[in-house]
Parts: sequence; structure tokens; C-alpha cells
Amino acid sequence: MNSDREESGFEETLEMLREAHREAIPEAHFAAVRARVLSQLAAERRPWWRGFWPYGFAAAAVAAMLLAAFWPKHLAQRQTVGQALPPANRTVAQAGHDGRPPGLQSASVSRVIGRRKRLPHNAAYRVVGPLVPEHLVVKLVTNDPNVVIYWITGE
Amino acid sequence: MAAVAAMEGPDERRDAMAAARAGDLAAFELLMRQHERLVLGTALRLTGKMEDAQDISQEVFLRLYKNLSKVQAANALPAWLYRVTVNACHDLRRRKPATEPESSAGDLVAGGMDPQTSLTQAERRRVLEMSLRMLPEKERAALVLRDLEGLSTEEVARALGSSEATVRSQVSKARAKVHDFVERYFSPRGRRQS
Repeated sequence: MNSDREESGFEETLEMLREAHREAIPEAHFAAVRARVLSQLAAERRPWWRGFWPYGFAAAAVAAMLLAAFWPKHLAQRQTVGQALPPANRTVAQAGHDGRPPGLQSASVSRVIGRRKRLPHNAAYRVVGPLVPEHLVVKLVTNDPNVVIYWITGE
Repeated sequence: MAAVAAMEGPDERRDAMAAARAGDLAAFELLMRQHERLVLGTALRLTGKMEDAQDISQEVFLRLYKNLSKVQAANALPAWLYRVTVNACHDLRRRKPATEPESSAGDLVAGGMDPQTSLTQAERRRVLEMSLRMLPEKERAALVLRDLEGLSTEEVARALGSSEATVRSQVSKARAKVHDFVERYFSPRGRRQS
């Protein structure tokens, strides 16, 4: 008799606990869990490079700035030197025709060469290298058309 | 498990698992919806706090996503989830020793009910929380799975990683303690003390 009462007491207690356990959990709690899980999974599935695009963009910008800073200057100087220095023999000959003293012409050449020395890159030297004359020929025209004096100097 | 089985047909669950394994997040969300009551409800009873239960649920579902290939059959999923949930609760308890539980497990709202019914429900929840709180961890897990979740002794033993005899013993002790607690709680003298 006592045992039966105890048994039914157990059952009552368990039933009460079950009822409490069966009470609905508000949907918001489930939704919060789902959102957290899905957002974490989505973040893990994102390709690795997607997180690095700002760095890539910054690197590209720096590269573009470096190119803008250096590349045009080289081109401009290459053109300047190329135009300023025609082949040495012809220049000297023309100087004689212009009637200007040859020293003036060679000063102009040395000015250009001097400017070349300040160029930051070896590339510039490569460009102007052939313009340094191996032999300097100076043609002096005298009043007598039959007398022409040539000075030929080594390096 | 019966509750889960009633939610969706086995074919749908199998399809959802296959799609989730292939990386379909929508299918995985469907799987979560099917089993969220199982995971969150169990975790809530084992931890006593909704905040902890949500953390546990998140961890369990993330583990599920990573181990989908290991759970071969769809009908093996609930057992797997129970086992992982119980283990996650043990881990949490080890990381974060039990403090005085807040009344957060009592946040379950009984909206639209008259105050008398609400009071009774709140009272029941309070008794459930308090009686589970006073149980040792293993007895609590055994009682929750066996009596509240309705698993068989064999399923509980598998989920807890112990023998059926141990589970029977744990459940029996837990029931006796809970019954004593409830009797004391509702006796006029016990009420005054609590």
C-alpha cells in the first residue's frame, strides 16, 4: 500500500517535471542560435582572398604611384639626351659652319653629359653611352678655302 | 527521439543530410530546425541557463557541420546530437564552474494565460530547475535523457558512454532525490524554508 502510494507520488512528480520541460521555448532563442551558426559557417566558407582585397588594392595603388613617380622621368630624360646629342662628329662639323668656336659646342656637350651623370638609373647611362665619341675630329676652316685643318684626338 | 521523428519524414531528413554534406547551407538550416528543440532543450536542462544553452547549441551544430560525413544514417543523428550535447555541457562545466544559476531557464514565457495558470507554470519551472540543479552532473544527465527526453535506457547509456546498469542506477537515484525535493518543496514547512 505504501509502495503504491510512493509509486504514484513518483509518477506525479515526474509528470509535473515533464510538463515543465515540454513548455515551449520561445522561437527567438532558436532563431538566435541558427543565426549565429549560419553566420559563422558563412564566414568560414568565404574564400581566403576575399578578406585580403584591401591589401591587394593598397599594393596596386603603391605600385601605380611608384610607376608614376619614376617611369615618365626616365622616358623624358632619354628623349632629352637623345635629342640633345647627335653624333659627335657631325655636331663639331656643324659648329665650324656656324662660325662658333668649338669650345662652346664641347661645353654644351659636356653640360649634357654632366646632366646625365646625375640620372638615378643605370638605364640612362646605357642610352647615352654610344654618344661619347671615341675620336674627336675638329675641322678648322680658314679664310683660305684650300687650307682646312683637322684635329683628330683620341679618347 | 520520437519527437524528432514526428517532425519530418525519414526521406526528407536523409535528403537534407545529403544536401548539407554537399555544402548546402539551406539544407543544413533545415537540419538545424529539425533538431534544435532536442539540442537547446537538453542543454537548457543540463546547464540551467539559456545563455549557456545557446552557446552549447551553437557549438553542437558547428560540430555537426564539420562531422556530417561521420554521421552516416539520418536516424543515427539524434543519438549523435544527444551525445555531443551532453559532452559539450560537461566541457562547459569544466571550463566554467557552476555559479548560482539565474532564473534564465524560467524565461520561457507563457504568453496569453491567466495569472493563476502562469503562476502554476512558473512554479513548475522553478521546481524543475531547482530539483535538477541539486543533482550530481551524471545523475542529472541520466534523468533528463531518460525521463524528460524520453530515451530508452539503452539510448541513454550510449549517449552517456556508460553501461545500462549504471544508467538505471543513476536514474533511480536521481528520481528519488527529485521526489524528495518536490515533496519538501510543496510541504508547508518546506515552502517556508525555500
